[in-house]
Amino acid sequence: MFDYILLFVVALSAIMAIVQENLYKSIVILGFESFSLAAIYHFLLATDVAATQAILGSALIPGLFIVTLYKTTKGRDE
Amino acid sequence: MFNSTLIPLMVVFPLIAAILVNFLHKKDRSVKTIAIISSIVAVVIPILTLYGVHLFSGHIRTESFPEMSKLLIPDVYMGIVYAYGPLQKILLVLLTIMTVFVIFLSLNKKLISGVYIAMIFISLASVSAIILADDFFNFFVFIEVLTVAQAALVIAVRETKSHKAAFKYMIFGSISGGSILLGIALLLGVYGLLNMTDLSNAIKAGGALQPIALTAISLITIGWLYESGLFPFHVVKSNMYENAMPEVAALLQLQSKVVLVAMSIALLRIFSGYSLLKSVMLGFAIFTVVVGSVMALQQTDLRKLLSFVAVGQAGLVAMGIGLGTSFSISAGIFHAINDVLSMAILFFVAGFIFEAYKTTKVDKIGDALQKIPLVGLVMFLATLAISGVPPFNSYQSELRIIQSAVQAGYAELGVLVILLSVATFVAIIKAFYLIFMRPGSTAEIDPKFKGTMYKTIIVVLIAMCLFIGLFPHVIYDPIYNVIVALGV
Amino acid sequence: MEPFQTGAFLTAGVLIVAGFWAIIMMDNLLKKVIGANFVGDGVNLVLIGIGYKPGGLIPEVTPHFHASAIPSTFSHFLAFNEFAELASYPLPFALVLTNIVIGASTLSVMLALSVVLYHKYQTLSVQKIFEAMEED
Repeated sequence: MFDYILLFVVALSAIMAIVQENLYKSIVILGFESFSLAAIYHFLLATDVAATQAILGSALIPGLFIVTLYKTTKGRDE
Repeated sequence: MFNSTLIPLMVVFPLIAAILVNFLHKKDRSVKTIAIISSIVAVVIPILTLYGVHLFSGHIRTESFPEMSKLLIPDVYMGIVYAYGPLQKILLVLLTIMTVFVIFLSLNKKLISGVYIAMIFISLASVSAIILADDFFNFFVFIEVLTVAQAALVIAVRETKSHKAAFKYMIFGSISGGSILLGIALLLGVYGLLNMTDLSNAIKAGGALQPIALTAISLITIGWLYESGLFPFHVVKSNMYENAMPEVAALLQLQSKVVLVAMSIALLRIFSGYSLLKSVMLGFAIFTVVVGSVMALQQTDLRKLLSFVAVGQAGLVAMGIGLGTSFSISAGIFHAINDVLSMAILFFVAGFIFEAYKTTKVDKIGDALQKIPLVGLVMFLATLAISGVPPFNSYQSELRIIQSAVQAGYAELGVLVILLSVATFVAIIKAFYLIFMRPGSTAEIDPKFKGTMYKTIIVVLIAMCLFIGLFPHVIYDPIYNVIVALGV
Repeated sequence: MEPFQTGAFLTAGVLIVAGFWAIIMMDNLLKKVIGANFVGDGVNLVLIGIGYKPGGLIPEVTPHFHASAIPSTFSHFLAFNEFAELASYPLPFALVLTNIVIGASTLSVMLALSVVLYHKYQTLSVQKIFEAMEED
């Protein structure tokens, strides 16, 4: 059951990350989506891919996005 | 000693050179030495290598194919395969020679660093792998690497326009890369194979195509359109050409035409029984030819004009391939080779003018024939060459494309080819007149700029054009034999 | 096809469509990059879903089989054929590992480019950047 909920969470958070106005929130949701995707990979029996996705998708890529956002809007809202 | 074990070296050697050059970032003299030596070695490798097939692991290809859709560990060959034959040899020699020219021209620029040369080497390695690979996933990986390397070469110009062009290129690249990989994934799901030869045999054995395989074809065709800069993506591609340094633009158009040829042959081989694919290719090619030539006639900047001409000529190559007979496919590939040479001369001339006058706007420069007569003469000859005037090479290939169009029953396409040649001639000769013959120049020539390297290279290239035009069978016959043997 | 596999394909479809929508319709540069990331994620999920087998073994982490195993002597090992029947298909995993790394590198280049474009135009809006392009 938990795996189906994860699928739903991934689909929902993908749409939310795109519709979201605030870019910080959207990036946090992006990281959440990547981590849930890593969990789905685990349920789909691809553990090595899950480890890579968990590191890259939920730590490195949101980190890069946050750095970019800090460099562009300097913390203020657009 | 020189046998087919050298095949992977064509990909590995440029990658090693790229890594070396990248590490020697600030040391200009050693970067120059290594770049010159390794680019010359990269030309020598494909000439010395014998034809053959390189298997990257110990499996042996078997003739039995697993049953459709549900297979786990198939009996067929699973590793990556590189195949090297006459067609690959022609394309690789052309690619490496042109890369040598571009590296020679790039070495004296101010913006050059080790990273820039490294990007040229990485793109060389990826295009070599795309030509050689008989494996779909390897193909995809190097297409993605090529996109990043080309974008990096354009970013290195450090102008805002080039940054924007590169950003657009990468965004659309992510779309096309995604669709190619999705197509590969669907094929993997249906047939369980990634090797192109095995896949083509399995599809032939399977009879009519399943709906999922049809979806895969359309997805991969979208990727093909993007990678070769055809109709819906022609703006992205020509934007890249016009915002790169002109000599890098010559490299970019060379790479995209070679990728066009390699990828269409792969598509035609895999889906050889599916005739609608050829019609779709032909349709997009006709759109590209029309749009490219119309846009080229409107431009006032030499670099912009040449980039639209390059796009239109890519459409002509795709038209030859899309007509679908052995004669027309080999004529299209032959035209790709001829066109790459003459477009490269024009782009190098644009690079010379950009170095000498610091602009390529045709209404600012004038009266240049008295100052740089040799460049003017070569540009005139290259204009004749690209519009298909007899002693030069494009005449041979355009004649063959028209003949094959008439043979295939599309005589009106022959008229379209002639119209494209006329439009190309008018567009470029207008720029030639304005730059070289019109009196009254507002831009001043840089008296210190000699450009001996540029002059040598364009003379060598126009000699190559003339040679192919006089002896077309040296290049054309091997291509025709390969295409007939493929039986697409 | 298994229900969970079907669900994974449907989710992948949602990811890809959302990603395309963001790339085409959104005005913000960063939103476009997020969309590109979603397209890559969706394609990866399709590939992983192809290799799935319900209740199967995980090919990489479990030392289940031995090349010359005889079930009576090594009762906890499986023969190769038996292992191949039970394990999930590992080829797509290798492809996805490659694709994740390529996607991350492409993404970082795009983010760097958007920083550069912001410094020139002081905005992330694509429409404003394109208007500025018309002027020069």
